[in-house]
Amino acid sequence: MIFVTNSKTTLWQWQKWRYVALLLLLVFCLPCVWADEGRLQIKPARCIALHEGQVCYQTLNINWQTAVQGDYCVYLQDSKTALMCWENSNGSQLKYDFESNSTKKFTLQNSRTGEIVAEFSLEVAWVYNAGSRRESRWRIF
Amino acid sequence: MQTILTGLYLSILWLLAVSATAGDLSSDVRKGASDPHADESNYIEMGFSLGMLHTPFYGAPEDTDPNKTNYSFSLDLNLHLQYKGWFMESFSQSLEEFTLGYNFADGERWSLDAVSLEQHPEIGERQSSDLAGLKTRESDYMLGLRATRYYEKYIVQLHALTDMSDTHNGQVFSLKLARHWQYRNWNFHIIQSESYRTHRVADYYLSVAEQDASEKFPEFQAQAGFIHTLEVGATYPLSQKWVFRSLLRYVQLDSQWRNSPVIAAEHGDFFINSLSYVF
Repeated sequence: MIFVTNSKTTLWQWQKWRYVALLLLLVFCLPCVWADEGRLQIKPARCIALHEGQVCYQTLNINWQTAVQGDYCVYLQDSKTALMCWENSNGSQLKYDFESNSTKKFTLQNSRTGEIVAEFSLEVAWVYNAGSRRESRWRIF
Repeated sequence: MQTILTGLYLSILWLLAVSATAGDLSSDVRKGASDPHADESNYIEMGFSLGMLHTPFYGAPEDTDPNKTNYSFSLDLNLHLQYKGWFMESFSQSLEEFTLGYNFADGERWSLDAVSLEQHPEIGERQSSDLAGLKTRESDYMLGLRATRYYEKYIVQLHALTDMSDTHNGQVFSLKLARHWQYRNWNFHIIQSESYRTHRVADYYLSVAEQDASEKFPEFQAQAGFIHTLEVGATYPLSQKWVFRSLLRYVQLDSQWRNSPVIAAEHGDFFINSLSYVF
């Protein structure tokens, strides 16, 4: 408000520097924030087995996207080997034949830093629950 | 006295509600059960079945022609309910009927139950107009032991039943061997069953006495005999609540029963597909 009241030149200079600052912010700072952001989407999101404890099988369509290009890998929980890796990419997809008897987490990681940029939990569900196992027993009425 | 005891026994079963551990073999093998506790949770299913059959029994189901392919549609109710040792179970595609029982012993891989069930339905004009003129054979109610052994992908089950309804006072013994496989989320199974009916059972349901004989239902004397059954099937979970089942069953009756007036063919087959909702 002070600049506006002082002179037109001062106002113009202030506005110019404001636009420059905004541009610099867009160029340098926002990618720094988005670098940690990514999206990992898996369809279908659930694998249904008939009975609790059975291995569930499902062909998955895995899609991922990130805000910036980079080197990324998709991992399945408890596995040190990546399902697939990409170089200098900001998104891709793959098909994966999933088989597990429990819910598993998929992660999208920056392969240079090891940073997890997105994750997805694939639920393994079933129709019939299993009973609890017990030792041998005899009953009387 | 026997009638009173029978009624008392049934009343207790009904009042205490029901079921325990090892379940109906047909139901267990479809789930890929490898121990008696696989069927331990309570559930109720409702659904429907579409079937094709060649029946070996004259006039049963009603309006079926043993020389033709017959089509059927039915509503299904499958359930397994248990409370402590008591249980009730019904599975529309089972080799057994609605069963009430008590599990009095079980282990990691075996189970021993007392079971009661209707083994033979009524045969007569009330069930089928084709049987008009045939002296009605009443349904029975049998009581006995059911022993089940699980070994990895195999299940062996033995039934030893005796009539408790004073209908024929006969016995039925059956031995079933089942195996299951899993391919992806499909569950396949096969069941081989050998079932033996004593003379009293066969005579009551399949014989026609001289005084009851007619041109349509001539005199016949049935001896004890076997029923051989082979079944293959598949089960697939369409979702967490919907289950698809398919089944092909072949039944071979004892050859000496072929001339019984209530037997239309020595063998029959049954192909059925069903869809069930699990509550």
